[in-house]
Amino acid sequence: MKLTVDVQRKFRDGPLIQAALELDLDRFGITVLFGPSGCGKTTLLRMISGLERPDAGAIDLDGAVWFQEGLQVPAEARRVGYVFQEGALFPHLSVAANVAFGLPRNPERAGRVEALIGRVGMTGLEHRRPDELSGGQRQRVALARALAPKPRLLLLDEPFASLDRPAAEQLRHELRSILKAEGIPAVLVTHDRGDALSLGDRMLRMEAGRIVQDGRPEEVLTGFAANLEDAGSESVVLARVVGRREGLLCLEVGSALLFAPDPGGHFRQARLRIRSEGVALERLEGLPASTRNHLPARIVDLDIRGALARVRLDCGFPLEALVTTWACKDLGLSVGDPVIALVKATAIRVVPMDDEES
Amino acid sequence: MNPAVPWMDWSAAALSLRLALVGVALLAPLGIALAWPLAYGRFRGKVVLEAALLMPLVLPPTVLGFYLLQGFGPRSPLGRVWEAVTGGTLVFSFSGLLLASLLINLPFFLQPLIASLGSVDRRLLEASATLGHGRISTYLRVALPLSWRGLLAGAILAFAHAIGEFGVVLMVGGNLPGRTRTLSIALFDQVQAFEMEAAHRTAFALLSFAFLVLLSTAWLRSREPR
Repeated sequence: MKLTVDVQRKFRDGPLIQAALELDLDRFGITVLFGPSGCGKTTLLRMISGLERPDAGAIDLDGAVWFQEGLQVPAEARRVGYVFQEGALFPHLSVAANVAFGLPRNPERAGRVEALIGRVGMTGLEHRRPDELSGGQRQRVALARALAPKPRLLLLDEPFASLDRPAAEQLRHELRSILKAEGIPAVLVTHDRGDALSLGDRMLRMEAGRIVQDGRPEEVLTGFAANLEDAGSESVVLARVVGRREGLLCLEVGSALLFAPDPGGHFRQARLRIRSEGVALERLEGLPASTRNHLPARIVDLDIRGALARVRLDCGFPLEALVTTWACKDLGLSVGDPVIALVKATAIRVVPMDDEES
Repeated sequence: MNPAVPWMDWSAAALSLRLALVGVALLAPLGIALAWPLAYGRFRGKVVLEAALLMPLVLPPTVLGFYLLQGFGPRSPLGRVWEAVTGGTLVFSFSGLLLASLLINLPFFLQPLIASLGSVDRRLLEASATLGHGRISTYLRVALPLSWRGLLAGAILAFAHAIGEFGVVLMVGGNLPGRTRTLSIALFDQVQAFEMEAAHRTAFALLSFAFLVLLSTAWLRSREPR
């Protein structure tokens, strides 16, 4: 099944939201909707769920209309699950009753509730009320509640935003395997790159109401920055863990090896976030090739603006360096030149990924 | 003490109580059904409906009573239908009194309930929709249970007001002992007849009752979360 969305919505004081996307609902996968707050991510999610009505456009599932001018299939008829930022658990119902809420009254009901409570790690707390739970526990129940009726698609609106860091990390760590076990494709709204990189198979980047980029998270985030001075600019690459020693991970990226601080935990795959200002450039001469984190590279593009230059490199994978224009001139760099990229180990953040992911 | 005057007009007290109890029992389903569109609905003429339903709050009871008397009278369409079906008249009867009492007490029941419904977190209603529940199911399973304080406050207020209503009762029901003479009308009679001791007892009973009622609703509101 394919969900086709092409909608418009305008709020007073907000940007015109105008977004088109397609979602494949037959295969499991997490699509990350990424962008700054106020760019329309949540509104887009609400339009897909049926909670918000677009001003114009169309939404359809394999030709069956969910929205078009004058017709809106209500949220309750779409079988699209929704996890709100702060859970939105029913305060008058127990954990078990919350999870059972969307299930028909039939003999399988109790078993399904029990299985889901187990899956999200809440066994033993079935009779608690939401106000007796921690933020992380509430979000787990919200997840189980949304998954219980086996929706076609699950929408998650910044599910970690209200959680403290350890709880958020823990849930993030488990979220992918929970969703995968249920086999339910998901769209996750976030403005956090870490969320996007550890969970996303696909990434839609939104800006001022529009989807400006659609691709794999590493493609979207590499070299992405609001402006040249933005220190948040980084390269993202997929890596395989080949060794561990002295608190460092040895990672294979394409044919190159990189060392980076080990965040701990068991994983064999990761996405690496390499801060652009942590990548320095050297001419080829006089450097032993075996030095750690020295990668032979070729300059693909040079973008000089004022005192800073953004240098796009090809070292078997795309890498970006942010250097001073002085350094650029001193080295006499130009497009096509071979150089050595020096990647500071401390400029690399390792985002662990699930094993089964490719 | 005048031995001819009873300590309390018990038949009037019983009638007041019956009127209020049956009234609230009928009011509850009606009010619950009406509160939903008023709290959550978006439709043309909503403000007009709202104003019409809340009118008894500000209208002099005698004005309302006058129109009800016209509307319920034996020559009115409603009065004729009633007579054809039951054989009795609507005016000066308990049924007529009850019907009038429903209309005037509706806003007292609705107001706290609508306020409570309005304060229910919208996301809970949305969550219910995404879990496959339609509007009515969401109302009955989420909104209403979370508004139980407003529901209870509305029931108490409507009950209390039904006990105390005077003007409309006098206009529509008259003053027939055992049939339409309620406690507040009995008080009027007692004062007219200079039976001041009895009047004091009746008045004090009604006063204490009203105070207790307001105390309990205030307590309910103070416990409302947020």
